[in-house]
Amino acid sequence: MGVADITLSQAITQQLNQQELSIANLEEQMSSGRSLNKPSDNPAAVTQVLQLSSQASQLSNWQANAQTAASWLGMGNNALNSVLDDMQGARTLILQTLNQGTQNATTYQAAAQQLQGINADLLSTANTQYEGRPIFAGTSASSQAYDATGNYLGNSDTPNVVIGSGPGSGQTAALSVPGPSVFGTGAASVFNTLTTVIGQLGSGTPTATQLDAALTALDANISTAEQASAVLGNGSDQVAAVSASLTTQLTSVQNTQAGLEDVNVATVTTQLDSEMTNYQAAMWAASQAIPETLVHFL
Amino acid sequence: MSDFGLSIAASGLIADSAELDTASNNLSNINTAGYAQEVVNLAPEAAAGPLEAGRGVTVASVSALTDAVYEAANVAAEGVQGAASTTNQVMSSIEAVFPEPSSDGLSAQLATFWGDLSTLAANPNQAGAQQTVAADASGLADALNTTSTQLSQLGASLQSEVGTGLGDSGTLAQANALLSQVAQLNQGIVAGDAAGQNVNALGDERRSAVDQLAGFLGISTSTAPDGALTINSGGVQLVSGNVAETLVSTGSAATENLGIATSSGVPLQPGGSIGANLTAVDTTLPGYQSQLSAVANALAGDLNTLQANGMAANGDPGSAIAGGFTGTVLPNIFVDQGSGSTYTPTATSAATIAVSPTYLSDPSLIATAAAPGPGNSNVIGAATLDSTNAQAMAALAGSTTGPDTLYQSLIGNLGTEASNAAGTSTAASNLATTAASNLASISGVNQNQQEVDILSAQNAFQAASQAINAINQSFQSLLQAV
Repeated sequence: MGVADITLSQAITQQLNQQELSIANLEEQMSSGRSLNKPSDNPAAVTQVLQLSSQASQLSNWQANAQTAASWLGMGNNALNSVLDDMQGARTLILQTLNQGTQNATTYQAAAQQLQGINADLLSTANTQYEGRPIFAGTSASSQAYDATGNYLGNSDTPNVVIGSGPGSGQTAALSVPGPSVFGTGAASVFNTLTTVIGQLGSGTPTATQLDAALTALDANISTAEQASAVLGNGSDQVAAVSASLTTQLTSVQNTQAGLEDVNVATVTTQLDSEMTNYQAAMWAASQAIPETLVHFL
Repeated sequence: MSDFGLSIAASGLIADSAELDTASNNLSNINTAGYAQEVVNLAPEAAAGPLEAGRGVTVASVSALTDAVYEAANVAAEGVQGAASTTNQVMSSIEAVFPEPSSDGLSAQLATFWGDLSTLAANPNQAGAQQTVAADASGLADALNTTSTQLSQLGASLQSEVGTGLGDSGTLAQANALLSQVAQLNQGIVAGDAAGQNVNALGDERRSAVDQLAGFLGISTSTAPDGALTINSGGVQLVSGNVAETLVSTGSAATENLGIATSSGVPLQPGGSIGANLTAVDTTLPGYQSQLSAVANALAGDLNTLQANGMAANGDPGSAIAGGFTGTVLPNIFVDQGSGSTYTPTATSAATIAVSPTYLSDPSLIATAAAPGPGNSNVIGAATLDSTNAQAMAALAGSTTGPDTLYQSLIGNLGTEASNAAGTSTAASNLATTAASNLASISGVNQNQQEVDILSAQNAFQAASQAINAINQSFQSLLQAV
């Protein structure tokens, strides 16, 4: 019993084929820069990579939403600052008028005119738009939050976006607050307060009681707007915090994914080097083994 | 010294020639598939009387060296390897249909689609965002269709690889040719044996045919007392004596019931590469087709349900909440090709999923807003920028029963199965190599050994010639002396 020559050559061929396959696989990893090129390369890692990349794209979506929310809220905060300035301006004006005692009709009418300017400014701020959408109109499809006479055209729902995982569709962030939460509801709205007092001043004979009532009403309006400002400010802070956390999570997910997917150049180069050496050794052995038979020595 | 001396030496010359011939024949067939090395069996010629030295040597027979156990093991290993390497090839082809992980696989397309819906949720009435959702939904349906078609085409090409068994170049027709070759060789071997002829060459040819047949069908063999080889596969006798069955294919890849039967209609479950092809066509591919369809069904089912229970930005209601609404009712997002309005989940839905043509021609017909309810001030028929429903659609990205999860498990299954098939194939190939080298250690030709045999036969030949010369000279000197 001996080794048949056909076995020797088959064994050498098989050995060389296997080494070629393994070299081809390493070269594919080097050229693509990825260690996972098909599902069977590492089934568990491939499934994990798919989960991670789906998670990463969700995190990116939430990040985009958080940025949208930050823009809306930033715009809302600016609007609220201007609203509070206007309201304080109106309050100062009414208070001055009250403290100056009885004036002539022209003075009252001048004050009325100033208040009208403030009212128009408030109305314009109330109709602030983000990408064509009034930010204080709730989820209403109306193109304006308030009409020219200060009537609310929106609804009482708060528009929001999803910025994280959670029950239902996920954790939401409010984009804004509906108009009445800023400007007051119906007869108690700042527009009604101002329109009333403007009418009284415009008549030239406002009473101290009327001006007092206007101040009381305006104080209530200021308090409402301050609460809305606090809500929007908190919203901004929360969105900023969530956005920072999303960035951290995204980086971590992407790093994990890269760790699974990317080729470790040092490792693969070393493996390739050693495979090439083995391959050359096997070829040298084959070149020595195949031709050497007894016939060469006879 | 007797006058028999010359014929004794001559019998040595004949025996040595036979050994030289056999060694030459062995060396000539050193790379012939199925060839078993031959040896000359010599027998001493008995002496006629007590004072005689013996009457030389006779060539009793020239036999082929084989081993029944190793041969059976080799045939079995060939069958296992045929099946394993075919399965490995099939799994590689299926893997090529699912390019994952990559930026252009179905997984990435799903992620893009959820991103589109998330953007739409932030801008529910923006025409651009609506258009993108519709276009990418259509892209998803196309990708599912294409993947499904590729799986079907793979099944069809595996079927044509097997062939009908008759009149084509498929593996089944090749197996049929080998079966009838074995039957013919059986006939020759039985007849030759009976007539006392050397049938080693016929045996070699039959061994080569059986090896190939084992790779195709995965067979078991047994040798009858008269030398005929009986071949069984999948529980059916395919060759008995000089009679061979002709195999034909039944069913088809399209109906997932491709099978093999004898011409008289007896079905069999072969092994080998043909058996592996049948398994791939009837079980493996339909399995992935159905897992892919589960992804399509989850996508269509989840989105259509949300669509039916919500309302569009312009107030048009979904079908489930429309009630007596007289205006436009939202269409399904995903439908069956051909139906145009409804979606019926089946195990082959991936092939037929499509985006509703009504929705595609008006991408604003998507239910971004929730149905009127306690949490909102939506009213059917009235425009709203509520995007609660679009948010729910986008949130399907993270659903544990959603299309992403199902697709990930499909890829996980595929990777595991393909990786197992590669491992099995390597193991089967090693097993086949071992079985072949075991057999070759008996039957194979070793060049050095043959050369040694030649040298010793040559030396013996020279010695016998020398003996003839010596006897000849002795007779001559005797004749001269007389």
